[in-house]
Amino acid sequence: MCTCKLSPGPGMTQAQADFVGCLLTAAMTALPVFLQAFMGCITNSNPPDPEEPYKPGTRERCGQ
Amino acid sequence: MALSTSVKLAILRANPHVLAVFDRCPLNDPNCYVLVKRNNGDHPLNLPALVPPKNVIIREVRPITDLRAPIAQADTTCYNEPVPGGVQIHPLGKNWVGTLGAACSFHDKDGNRRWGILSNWHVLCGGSAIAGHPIHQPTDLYPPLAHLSDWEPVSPDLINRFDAAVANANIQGLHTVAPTIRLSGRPAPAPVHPTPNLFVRKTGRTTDLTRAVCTATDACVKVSYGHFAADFCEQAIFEATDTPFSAPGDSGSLIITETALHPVALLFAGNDELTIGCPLKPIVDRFNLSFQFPE
Repeated sequence: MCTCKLSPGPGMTQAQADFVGCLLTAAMTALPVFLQAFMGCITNSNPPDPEEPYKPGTRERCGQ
Repeated sequence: MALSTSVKLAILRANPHVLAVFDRCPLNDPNCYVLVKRNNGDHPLNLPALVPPKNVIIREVRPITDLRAPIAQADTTCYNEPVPGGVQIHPLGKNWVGTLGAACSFHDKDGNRRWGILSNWHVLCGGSAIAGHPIHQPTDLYPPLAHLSDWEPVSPDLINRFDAAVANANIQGLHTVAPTIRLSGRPAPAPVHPTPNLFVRKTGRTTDLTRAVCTATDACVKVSYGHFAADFCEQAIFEATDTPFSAPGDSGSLIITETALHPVALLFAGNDELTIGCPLKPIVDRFNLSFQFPE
């Protein structure tokens, strides 16, 4: 759960230190996921679709 | 001595009335350069020292413009699938028409190979461009033929190498276009670079099948797009001996060799004497373009 254990600073209670520790833990857990998604967006790392075969149509498109 | 591209461009930009610079002369004199300028009166020429005026031939012609035609001149000849190259196309809602150069395959912006059409940027996009914009044949009174996929804008500030765009011809799982060109047949898949004295042909929506010879390569040219002008370098110039090789509406036509039908250049500008085509190699490289189709 909250793996960042902080000692309370001056004027801070242990409960407040534990809360800040939990926030830090959550941020450090989310950071790699966020970076991966962000880099995926900017580098467009999705693999290309399989080769699309050429399939010529024979449809009537002028009869309007 | 052949002029470098930078010197040709410097001459073009230092002389607003000069329309084209190239170093191909009628008698193949290696020390002869040609300046094509507007026939609108005398203007002194501003030439660099390494270009002596005695080595310059001046031709006076009308302005070189893009070769779209206004929508008011659109024809209504519609082609059923699969549609060949050399026919009229029209982007939805725009006030011009041009020519479908040829069917091709290309890589879209996501790197996927698609089957579609090659034409000019100023035919398929012309200023505002949105991927997926419908391209119709002959006009937007008929169903779409393709959807705009990728393009390279022509810039009034940079040195342009080509005027080209591609559109995806997959409509509901089938491709609307055929790997043939109207009045010419199926082009050979391998493009060749234009060379002086190369005999060529093209099929355009306005002048249909016409023939010409390549009279210059590596030309720097000033092209008027109506509301702006753009400088191009490394362009090929084609001239017909009898009827004009091109006219407004032929923009986008694929210029191919006369006998073996190898793709040579993409027609995009001209006047009543000269036609300008972009050599295909930079276009092939930019869009990963291929004219190879399965048998």
